[in-house]
Amino acid sequence: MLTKFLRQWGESILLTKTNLQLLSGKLEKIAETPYFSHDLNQYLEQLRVVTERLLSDFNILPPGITEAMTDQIWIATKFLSGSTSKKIPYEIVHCLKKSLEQWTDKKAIITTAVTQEKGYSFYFQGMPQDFYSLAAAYTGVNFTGELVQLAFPEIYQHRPLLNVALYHELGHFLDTHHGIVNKSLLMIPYDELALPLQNNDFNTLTDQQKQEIATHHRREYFADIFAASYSGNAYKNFLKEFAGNNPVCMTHPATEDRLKLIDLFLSKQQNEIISLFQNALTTLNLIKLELAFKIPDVTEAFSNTRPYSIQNEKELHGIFEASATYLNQLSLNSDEEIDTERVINNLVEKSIRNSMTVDRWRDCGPIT
Amino acid sequence: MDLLHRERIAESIKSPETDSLFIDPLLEESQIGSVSLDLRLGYDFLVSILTRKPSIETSTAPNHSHRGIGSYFQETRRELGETFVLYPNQVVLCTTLEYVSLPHNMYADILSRSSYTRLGIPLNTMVQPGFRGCVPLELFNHGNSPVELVIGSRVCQARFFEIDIAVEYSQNNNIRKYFGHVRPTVSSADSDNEMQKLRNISAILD
Repeated sequence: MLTKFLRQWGESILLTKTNLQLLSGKLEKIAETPYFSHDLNQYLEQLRVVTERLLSDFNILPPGITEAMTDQIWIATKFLSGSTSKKIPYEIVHCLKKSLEQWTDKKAIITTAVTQEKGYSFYFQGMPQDFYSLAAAYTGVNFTGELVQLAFPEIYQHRPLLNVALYHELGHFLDTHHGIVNKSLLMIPYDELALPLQNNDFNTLTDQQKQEIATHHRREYFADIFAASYSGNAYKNFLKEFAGNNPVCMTHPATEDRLKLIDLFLSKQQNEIISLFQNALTTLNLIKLELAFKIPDVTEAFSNTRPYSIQNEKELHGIFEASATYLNQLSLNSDEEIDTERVINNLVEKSIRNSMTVDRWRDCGPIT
Repeated sequence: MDLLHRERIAESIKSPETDSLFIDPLLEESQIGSVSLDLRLGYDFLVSILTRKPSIETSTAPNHSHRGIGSYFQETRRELGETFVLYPNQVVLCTTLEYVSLPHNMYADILSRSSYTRLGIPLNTMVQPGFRGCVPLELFNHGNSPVELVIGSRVCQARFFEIDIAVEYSQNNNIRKYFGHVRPTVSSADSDNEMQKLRNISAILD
């Protein structure tokens, strides 16, 4: 695993040192604007210490180690920088944090970066565990949390209904974090479970290529089911609209096959892929994938252009399906469509924000 | 036209009728006063900044050098309990924390609370019957010292007036641009329909 992390050393020493120096300056600048989150501030400080120690010990550290760590610091800097840009979809990130709490006891800190194009718009970028191990070994810094690096299209900043795909990206983080798909591959090897991709188009590939594809596709399926378990048909329908015609490729199953699997999961039907993931989760002592949301009736509130008063955590996740369904069933003329879409997204955002505000106010106890 | 008192405000808020007063979140019952209701400072801000342009153009003249009003403001956000510093002579747009919905026979005057007026931050705006959204607040510090404001603090108060007839908020086809907003929005002065007419008049002046 470590050898995979330490890819072939290719940069010149001067370039690595220059990159590190520039990143040090960038991190210093980021630190001038503190985050809302204390955890994020703490992570930033720890990353700055790692950077400074890599610089001060540059001449005595193995170049491959320094280069690999610098690359990861660069990625982290992009997401930490994005989180100061005030272009965070704060409300859905709150929902993601709530779901994250059910899946890990470790401190996982969600950071976001914005993207500008549709083709590569939503993604999760992992920070390898090796980075943290090397940081501890070579710089003495033991990180107190892990970054969850998610990217989303900037133009969707205030469109929570279009950001449900972030649940999918969070699924990728949890898969990597817990090694869920890796465990599934140990339980049932890739060639013993026929995925929809394994048709004639792939017959010419080598076994290694087939295994890589199967691994990628299992990761996508897991992230899909994870997203559906929190946002239900809101995620399914977004996937259908956003990438409905995407055919199978090396990294992703065909959207049509992904939608079928989501349908099976949402209708609580058995399927060998779903069962495999459930068994892997059980083996890892994790909770099972189940419908973790309750669909509130937003009709009365939204019809009156008022936010819905979210009653509990299941409704917090369920508001996405409820709102998407409400929006889709409206009969609107073309003049009304865009304005209504904006208002409904605003109402979703405000419903979530009000829930956050009320919780924080209540949790701080009575006024004395 | 009747000014609503405490009991009527509370009664309207609790009313199950769809066309009633709606304030969400109402964090404390004590926000309802004798003849007013305290509203809190929201978390999204648009802060005015200086640009290379000498002035904000409200004319809609379609030339390449026209700079949109939005570019004279910078977006920022705070969390509940955090502070926002309002500097002297700076225009800052924000909203109330609460989402407000007014019945079609009620309008509201929004005024700063005296504690903030005494710091040099007056507020005076009106909300039309049938309004839905977080109430826009235009902050301006008239004093000499920067003032630290706390997100969620009760900076203003609403006085509610019932009128004899119900009126439609969205009539005239041009009102909806401020409808259902939950964040501050910049002025639409440059997209006013009459600007074109005024420019035409200007062009034919002797």
